[in-house]
Amino acid sequence: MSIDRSTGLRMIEDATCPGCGLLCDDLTLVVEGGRIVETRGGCDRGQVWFEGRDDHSGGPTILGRSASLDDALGRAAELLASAKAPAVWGLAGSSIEAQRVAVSIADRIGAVVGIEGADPAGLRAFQRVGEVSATFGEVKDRADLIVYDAVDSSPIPERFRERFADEAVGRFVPEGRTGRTIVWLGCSDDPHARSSDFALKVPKDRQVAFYAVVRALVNGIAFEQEPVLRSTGLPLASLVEFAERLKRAKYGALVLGRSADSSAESEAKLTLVRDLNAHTRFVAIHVGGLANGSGAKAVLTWQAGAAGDIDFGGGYPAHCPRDGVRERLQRGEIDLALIVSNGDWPGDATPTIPCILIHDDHDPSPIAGLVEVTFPTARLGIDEGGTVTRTDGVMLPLRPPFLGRKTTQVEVLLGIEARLKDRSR
Amino acid sequence: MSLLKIAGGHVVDPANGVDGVADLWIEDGRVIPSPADPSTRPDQTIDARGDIVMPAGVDIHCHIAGPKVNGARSMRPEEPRRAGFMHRSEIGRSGTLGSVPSSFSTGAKYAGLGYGTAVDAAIAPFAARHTHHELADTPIIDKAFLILMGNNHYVMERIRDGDRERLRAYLAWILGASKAYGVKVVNAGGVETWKQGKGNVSTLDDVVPGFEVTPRGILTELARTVDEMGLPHPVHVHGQNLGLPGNADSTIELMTALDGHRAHLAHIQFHSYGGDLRTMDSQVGRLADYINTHRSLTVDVGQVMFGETTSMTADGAVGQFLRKVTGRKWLSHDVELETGCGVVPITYEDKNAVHALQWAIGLEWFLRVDDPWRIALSTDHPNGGSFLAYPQIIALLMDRGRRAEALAKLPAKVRDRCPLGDLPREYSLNEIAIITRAGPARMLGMTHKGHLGPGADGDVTIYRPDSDKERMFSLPRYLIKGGQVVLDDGDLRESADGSLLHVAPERDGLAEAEIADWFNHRSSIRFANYGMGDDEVANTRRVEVGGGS
Repeated sequence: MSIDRSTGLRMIEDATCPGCGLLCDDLTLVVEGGRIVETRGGCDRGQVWFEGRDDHSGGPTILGRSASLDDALGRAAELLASAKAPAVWGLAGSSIEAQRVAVSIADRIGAVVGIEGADPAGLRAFQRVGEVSATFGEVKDRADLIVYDAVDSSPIPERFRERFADEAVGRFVPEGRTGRTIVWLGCSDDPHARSSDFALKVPKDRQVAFYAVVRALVNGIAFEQEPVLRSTGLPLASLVEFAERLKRAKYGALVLGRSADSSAESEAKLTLVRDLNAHTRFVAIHVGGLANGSGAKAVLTWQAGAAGDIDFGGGYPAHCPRDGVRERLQRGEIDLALIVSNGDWPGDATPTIPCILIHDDHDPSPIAGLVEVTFPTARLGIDEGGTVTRTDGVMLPLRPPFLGRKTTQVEVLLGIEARLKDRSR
Repeated sequence: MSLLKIAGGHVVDPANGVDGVADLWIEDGRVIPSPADPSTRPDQTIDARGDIVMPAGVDIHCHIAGPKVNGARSMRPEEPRRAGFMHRSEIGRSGTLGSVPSSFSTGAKYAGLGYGTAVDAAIAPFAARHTHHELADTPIIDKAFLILMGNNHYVMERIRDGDRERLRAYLAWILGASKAYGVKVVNAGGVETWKQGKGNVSTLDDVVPGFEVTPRGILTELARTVDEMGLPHPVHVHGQNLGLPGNADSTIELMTALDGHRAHLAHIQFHSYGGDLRTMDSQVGRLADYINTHRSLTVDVGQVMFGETTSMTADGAVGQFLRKVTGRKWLSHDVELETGCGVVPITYEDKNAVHALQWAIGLEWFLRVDDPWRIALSTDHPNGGSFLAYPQIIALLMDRGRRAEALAKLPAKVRDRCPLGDLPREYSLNEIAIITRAGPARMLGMTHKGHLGPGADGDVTIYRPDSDKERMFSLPRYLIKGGQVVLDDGDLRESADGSLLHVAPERDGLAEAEIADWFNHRSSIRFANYGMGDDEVANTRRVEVGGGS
């Protein structure tokens, strides 16, 4: 922290932005009184995160009525302890510290756990074939070929391109942009396609075929023109040129936005990257997503063995892909939900089961209906600290300027856990 | 104040030359001399008459936390389906089992095996924050980790420049900033070469492209600096050409290069092969002779056990090699400025001549190193097998009949190419205590671990003697951790957090300003967000750095 000499305002340097999973940690927050008045170095999303309205400072409620924190914690614990088939949902906007406690609660009460914004199809692909990847700094340091996959219109965060990719100067790419070839996979009328060196328009529903043919070409398999055109919608020559370009790279990076891919699509991408390593170095890089979705996956993995959909109901952590919170809600098999999220509920917009809601009070929760207990809490990076995880696995600390002014998620979760422990004594 | 008496057990405490019946007293977590006043009454007494009392086990080389281990868990959901789960209990969290157990299972299973301390041998400093969170969820045992320095860009630049002062300042900073315990070198310069797509290094004098340093330079400068700093543990080395037939020549070259320095050579079994893929044989004889005659070197074995496991290494090239050999799924992760990482499932099969030879070569190592203080038991968990296989290995070492029986079932080639069957040596209980606790603690410079003299940590394991040594060491009766009875007559009764052991060498503020500038130009994160804050890690315990020069 420092003080700006001209204005006398407090400056928080090297602040980490929880606006998305990119978690830029090079922001400067200018603080005046109890507000952040300027966010330097971030994107629009970061500015909205730090400078957005903050007028939802209500306390906890029980059935819509104001309650003391102690009463609300007691009621939440009572509900959780008596639930027969509880769920814990959300967690992607929480700190590692909060996630660790939330999963501990799930273990204690035998809940099924689901992570908001998780990519179960991508996880299945990873579990089948693995992944060749890297931290963002490797792209900056080494990548002379960067392929942006925006076929499904997933946004590639601009600050990723700015900080680590297009113009970035790296040890083995000292020329910056001129030392890198940028390939855009998506719609050819996309403005990003025009700023790239090379673009391919890949129909969304032909991705598996496209990647499979390119992988086969990389592996030295020859094709006739007509079947390739029929299956991928692209002429063979352009795919051959693309495959050769990939192989010629010294260090290539396939950059994938927040994915809506099917498992087969994810697998097609991961296997292409894997096989390219027989010829050169190539990595898959994931960008975007929620602030700490990667952290939630990491915590669930080290505590319970898998990166999503864990059922503690049998007294042990059973991985239950395709039978998680969403599916069980649809079948009416959940009787209480502990929701730690500001986002959408995986079931209907209005839950029809009782809920305990822990949400950052800077935004009103979209979840209404049968909310038994609500805990409005601090916002990550502003009045709640802790640790968050980038999509490349690098964990970063937050630098909240107003620590201590609001109840935090960690405090609420620890309070619930302590009361659950007391009840079991 | 709590006073515990372990009464009448047969105490095996090699560090203090004790091997006989004695009482042991522990007060507030530490071993104390027997009270002079015969009327002193303990708060708790464990009747250990007829039992064997040892210091708790110390694992010098394992992989139990961090993104590499967690990536393996995530990639392998089939493992707990094969190996099962740990159920939630009144005192402990639930978890998964298999070659890469979940964090709570890892702590509980080490405790159940009578171990009190485990050192993760390969953490990228970039992953220190992750590792600390995960280790905080690894209960009961004390933990420490070594940080990967052998392909670090700043390290290689300073060695190239001959700037020993800055190299030392950097090591002091990065050890302190990551709250690590020691320095690890994995395939010096080779991982960086591989990351550039330029193959690998294969000799100590290959030049690392773009850095103009050699593996020899990296190894010797790091070994020298670690010695000068007086770090409790010497440089911990994973050599070149891991797992490749014919690699014994480069292992001898490595040992020779490190002559005059303290060094620990990890999972030496994987570096002890002659011949080629067709003619691969054991070269333990000449390598063990070198160890026997050079007292500054120690080794751990990296014993291979048959069955399903997960290979994991910071040596990215080895990961790719294993993917090619096995055709199985592969996780690879390059970490900027520092290292690589490779994870591939592997099944060691007793019908596979290469795997069987690896098994035999590991055991040969134990029997060929004369001084048990210089060789530590490890499976390089989970690379050669799980730490849960330690009792099987102990039984093989203590019983040559059992070894002969196992060897007879293996392909005939193994008996032709490894002299294991000719080695009659059997380990005594005292020697087992050395290779599983006293020795590793001494190698790690943990003066409060691995023995039961006054001032030592109250970490004690009590075994019921059994002619079946595998059963004896699989099922300790008691584990006392920091004076607290954790394992009580075979049942895990208490949980505890365990400590995080780390070093904090004296730092140089001026040099750090330069390091910060260097780092901010090259890293994808800010220097200020790299190191651990003092309040970020709970239950830390600082181990003193000796008188540096």
